[in-house]
Amino acid sequence: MFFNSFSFALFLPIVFILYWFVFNKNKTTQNSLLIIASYYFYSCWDWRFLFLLVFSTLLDYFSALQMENSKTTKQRKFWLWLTIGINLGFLGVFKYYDFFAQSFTELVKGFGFQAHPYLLKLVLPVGISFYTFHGLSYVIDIYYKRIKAERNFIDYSLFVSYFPLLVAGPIERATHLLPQVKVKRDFNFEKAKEGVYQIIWGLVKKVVIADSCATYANAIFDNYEAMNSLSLVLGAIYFAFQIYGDFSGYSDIALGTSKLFGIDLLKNFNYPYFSRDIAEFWRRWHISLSSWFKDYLYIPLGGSKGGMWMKVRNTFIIFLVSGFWHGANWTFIIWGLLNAIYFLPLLLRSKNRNNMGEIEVNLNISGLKTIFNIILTFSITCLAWIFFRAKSITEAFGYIQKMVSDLSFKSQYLNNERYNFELLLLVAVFVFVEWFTKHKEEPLSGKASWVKVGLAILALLALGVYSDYKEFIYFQF
Amino acid sequence: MKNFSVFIFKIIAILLVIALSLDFIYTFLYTKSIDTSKFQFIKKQEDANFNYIFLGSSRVVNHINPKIIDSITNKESINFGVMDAKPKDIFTLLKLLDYYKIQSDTLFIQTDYYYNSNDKSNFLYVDLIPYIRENSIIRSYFEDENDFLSLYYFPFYRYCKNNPKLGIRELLASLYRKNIFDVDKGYIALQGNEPSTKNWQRELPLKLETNTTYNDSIKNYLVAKSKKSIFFTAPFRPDTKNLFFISKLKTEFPIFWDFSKQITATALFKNGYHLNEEGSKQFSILISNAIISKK
Repeated sequence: MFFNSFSFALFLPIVFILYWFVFNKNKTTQNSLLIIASYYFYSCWDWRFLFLLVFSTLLDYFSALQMENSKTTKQRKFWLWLTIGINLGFLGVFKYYDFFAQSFTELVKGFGFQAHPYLLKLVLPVGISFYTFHGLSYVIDIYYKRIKAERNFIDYSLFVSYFPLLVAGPIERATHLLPQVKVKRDFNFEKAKEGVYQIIWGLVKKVVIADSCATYANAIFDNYEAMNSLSLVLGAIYFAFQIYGDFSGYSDIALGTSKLFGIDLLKNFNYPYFSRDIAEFWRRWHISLSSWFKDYLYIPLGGSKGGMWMKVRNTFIIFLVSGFWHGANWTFIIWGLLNAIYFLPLLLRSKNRNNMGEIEVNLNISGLKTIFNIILTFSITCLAWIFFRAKSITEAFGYIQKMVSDLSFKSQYLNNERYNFELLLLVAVFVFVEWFTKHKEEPLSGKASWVKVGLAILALLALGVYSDYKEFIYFQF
Repeated sequence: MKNFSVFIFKIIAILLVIALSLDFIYTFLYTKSIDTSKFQFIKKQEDANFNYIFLGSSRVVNHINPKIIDSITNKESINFGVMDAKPKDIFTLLKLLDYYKIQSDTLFIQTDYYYNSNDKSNFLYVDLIPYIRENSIIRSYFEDENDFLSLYYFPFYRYCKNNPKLGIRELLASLYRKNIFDVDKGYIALQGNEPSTKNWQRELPLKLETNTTYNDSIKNYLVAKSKKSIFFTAPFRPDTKNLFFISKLKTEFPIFWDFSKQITATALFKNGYHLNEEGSKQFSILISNAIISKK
């Protein structure tokens, strides 16, 4: 059941009505309904993986209690590593086993030996990377005594399986979400209204921007050998907007849906393509994952305490792990590595926290410099996205090589029966809207909100892509 | 909660008003201002009389040049072939010809491997969607669609679903486009000669399907309406596999003209199933001569 599907359009109002009119007696009834709804939502993909989700919930719940009841550090450590091992073990088996087996075979072949690995060819349980990290953050927080273990199993189950964030985040923290599920929620009209605006805007991002860009990006990436430089540059730009519209659109719908149930989720995107350097980009893109890696990997590895070498080493580690988290393919690892390389000059000059404030562009030299920095950051991000989108490293390098060597900038007719430049106007309008509303979560609220809602619905109907159904990209992670 | 109910009601109202308005505008433009499709070319011939009407798939659209046939036979013919047509499309077009009072002395209906299909043409589907509420024949064409109720009743759903062919881009572009079928009375020439690649070395079916719905409907309709009709098969490139299928097809029709092996030069084919312009010229001469000799 996708957020942009007809079945979700039926599911959401039913759960909403039951939640506020039938199960509204206390927080236990509210939470129980949300758990049932969440399990149903998850089982719509594949009910067999529901057991995995329930097992992961039980494991983290009991391990956290055991950790809290442990009398020695050794015992606490045992429960921590047992939980981490099992959780990452599942992730490893489902997501990475085949990749490692195949990579090992290639390596062995390189030395002239033959190997025939046994491949599992398992279907990846949807959202496994998200709920595994979700649960891990909880047990790590318990281990470091940042929070108390949750004793109410219903509350804890909802924390793990809450349907708006279950399959593609945001990756929540116990410190943020658990306090909200531990109290009865009362209906708040303003919050619900915000939620609806956010859902509509998320749908525009997904159905109008991401899916339109997808048809062009696919036509270009799938035939890159026949494309000229202009098409290849545009292909990278279209993919950048596809993945942004897709994932931030999903996050907007998740946040908006959650607000309908009186629960705030962590903000996941903050206009990342207006970033002035790559460090700022990573503070604005997939914020819940970036901050997860910072808190649960970068800092435990020593963070920036051990001098420049430690900083550089730890930065490379988190970017490589982040790349690998996205998928079991060398392309994602190179994507992570490229981002680490982009980060390096800022780190070495200690300028990675230079652009922390609001983005302002004035009509002077400083304003021009900001625009230049935004364009430069966007350009190098697009270059990295080529590795993220390509099916193999060879394809990515082939794409880039053709892009810089062809040097033909004529319009080309693509196999989606469109000219390569046709979507630029829509992308430009989207950038324009985002730029002038970047101080808000979504552009629909505020003055003339009904006109803006009307325009958004008009865009959804007239410009949305419905014929070739595309699922959310981040579901595969 | 009352405020929220009003808020949601307003959003649904806005959605409905926009969907209804868009549906009205698109339908008006596609049916009244735009003239680009094969169906519109056919519909424009309302109340006209022809000596010969040719129906069939792309193997009529790209093969039958009415101007050549007219010059040889001294009669008036027209090409009503529709790309990707199947028996269901032919049956629908037959009924629509009567609905629009388009008369003919003889109907020539091309048939071949599509005899086995119960499906419908993607092209006629898109051509007819704006007209879904125009008459019961067009309505019934869509009744077997899983989402028929949405197509028929949900405002603007039909355009959303088919947005690559009927979306805003197509709508605006079509306003400035002319109907290419007007130029040669429904005929479109194919240029060039693609090599015999694997892609186009096609195979005809091994046997006739007996559970097809629309072939009998076509035959019964022609008998019921006392229409003089001749079924025929256009030429295939000689490397097409299972050409014996056509001899099985012959047994299904009272009058059947088999041209499947009449053109053998591969240079006259655009690809396995389609003649190029020169090939279609030769085939049009062939069929004209057959008409004269078998009159």
